[in-house]
Amino acid sequence: MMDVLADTNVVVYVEDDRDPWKQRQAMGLWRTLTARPGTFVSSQVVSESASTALRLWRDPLKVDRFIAKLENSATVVPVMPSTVRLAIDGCARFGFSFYDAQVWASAREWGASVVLSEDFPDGLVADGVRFADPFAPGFDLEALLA
Amino acid sequence: MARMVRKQVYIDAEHDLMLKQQVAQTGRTESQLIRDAIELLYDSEAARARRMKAAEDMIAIAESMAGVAEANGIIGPAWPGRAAHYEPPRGMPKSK
Repeated sequence: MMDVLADTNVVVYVEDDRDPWKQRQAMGLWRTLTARPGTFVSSQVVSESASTALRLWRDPLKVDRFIAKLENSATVVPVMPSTVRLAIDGCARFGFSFYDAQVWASAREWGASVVLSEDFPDGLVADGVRFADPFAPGFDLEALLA
Repeated sequence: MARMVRKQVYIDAEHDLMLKQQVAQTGRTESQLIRDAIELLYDSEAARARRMKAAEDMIAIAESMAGVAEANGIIGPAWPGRAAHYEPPRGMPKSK
């Protein structure tokens, strides 16, 4: 079974209705991912999703409920000092910005072989972690996970 | 489900050998293989149903907030990438 780490933009497009196509894509993706085990988000993704939802909705109660449901629909992996050190290595080796590198480091550290994100070059493979843009034309989750 | 935790466990030497053979054959880490085994044995239909229910609830909350971002005067992409998220360009108001 292939483990997948969903990046912040996937969750943010669930939150944001101003791009209806991306919101539909993100909601469909989340339904599919949560129907299988092995879907991760990192604590960084949870934090960034919360801060973005607060900015969009300005409703702390709703954001809190949303994040609680996010936590229960996937496995949340923590960002630890070892993750930070791996991220520093990722900056040096792959030229990632630090916080992008931390997403890669979480996937690397917890064994996710795929990161779903539009923030990285589609198809890039870094130390066995493959990045796939779920909003790119022709994206096929089934084929990716096969 | 939810958070990943670090756990130190003792296993038989024979199981350790089996695990190492599987690592060599599959390219997956020992942690992944242990999680696979747990999920294979115990990821029940109930656990799957709980995850899916949480996802549906999460989506329903987002749907209930339709139009709110626009009403709040939010302009521009909600997720402009991490560089802009952590360090908005000069002249751009920081989120409240």
